Amino acid sequence: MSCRKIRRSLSRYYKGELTVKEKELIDQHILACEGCSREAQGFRALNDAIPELDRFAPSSAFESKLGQKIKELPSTEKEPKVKSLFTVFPSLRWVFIPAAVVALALFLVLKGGFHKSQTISEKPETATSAETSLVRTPTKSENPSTLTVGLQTNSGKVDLPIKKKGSPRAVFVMDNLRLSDLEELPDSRMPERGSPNFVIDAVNYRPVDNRQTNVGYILPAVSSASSKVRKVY
Amino acid sequence: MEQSRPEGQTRSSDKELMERFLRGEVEGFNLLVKNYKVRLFSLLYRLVGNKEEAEDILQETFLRVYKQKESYDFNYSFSTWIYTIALNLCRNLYKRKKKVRFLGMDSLVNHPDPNSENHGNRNRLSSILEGAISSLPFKYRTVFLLRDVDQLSYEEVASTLNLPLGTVKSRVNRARRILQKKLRPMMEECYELSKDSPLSIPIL
Repeated sequence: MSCRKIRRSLSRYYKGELTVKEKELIDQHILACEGCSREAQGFRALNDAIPELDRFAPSSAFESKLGQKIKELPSTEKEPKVKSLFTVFPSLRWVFIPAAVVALALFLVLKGGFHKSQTISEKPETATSAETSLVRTPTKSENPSTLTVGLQTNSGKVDLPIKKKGSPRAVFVMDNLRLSDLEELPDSRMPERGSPNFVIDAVNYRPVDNRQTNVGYILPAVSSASSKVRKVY
Repeated sequence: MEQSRPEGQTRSSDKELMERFLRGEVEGFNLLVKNYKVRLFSLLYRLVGNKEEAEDILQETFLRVYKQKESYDFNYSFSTWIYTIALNLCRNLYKRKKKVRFLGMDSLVNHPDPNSENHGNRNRLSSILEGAISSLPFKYRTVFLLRDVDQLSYEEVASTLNLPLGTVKSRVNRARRILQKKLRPMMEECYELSKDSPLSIPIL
């Protein structure tokens, strides 16, 4: 073994970190090589000096100071605390947040679908898709057996409750309204122009301009309109 | 991995003490403080070179053990855990003070600490070694103190410092060679004396 290799192994030689064979090789070498022997002296000196190093102790007040600091800790830190799931598994944060967003989106979609299905179930059996826009979900205060059609008149919005059952199902003509005022209604709901009888089929019919109209009152097809329907919604 | 500890505390006993502490027995914690305070303080003092700072770091180390006891992983040795805490705190201080001289061990060598256990028995060799250790670069000093003074295994040093095993072995060897060079002149004096002396002074 070369002197270079021997010298590189000397520190481990004195620490007992070599194999028996390696140790024997070094033993033989340093007996014969003065240079390596002198080099070895330094390592031996180092090895001998380490146990002689002082051991330093903290001040005598160390433990009482530590005890005081522990006493001053908030009670939550003195007691075992439940670790947050995100603390234990930090990567969960990047799974949980997108999952929460997806769950919220799904909830909103399903909620919307639920309401839609409710609305559809409340529609008259004969209703077409075009009629859907005329229908809104009855509020709790309304009679559940009725649908409501909203009319925009020049005096404001009016909700027209219409019976879901019975024939004719829905008539949209109100007192003092002309057929021409109802042009925006879907054709399927349009009263026949010139028809003498239009049935108000709304139990709680509240006419425009707050005028009372009897339930089941047959209106003339044409009347002088004081209120004009602008829009059906 | 199991080896004798400087204060006769085996690692399994450390774990038993931690178990007692986790069961609510504060005595377990007190014994851990007793077992580790001198060992850690000596290490920290040699690393930071200032007694007050070393003691502050030691206080913080034990406080963290106290506060974070639930985070101790029983698959690892307690010594690795507490050394890691202490050295992380020490490194943080080192980073803050990097621009000023971090170590003041010269004062330590010239003015021995009154709390030193071997006060009065310091021989010339250990005094030279103390000075030589203080002049080591921080990265070599740390591995040398952990491996050769505190007698942690190479694996424990690697785990404590989060370094590859090969890096630790290489740094320890390098540190020993630096220190050996500092000690060799003194040993050569002895060598020359041994040649002239009628009494053979055993050197090797």
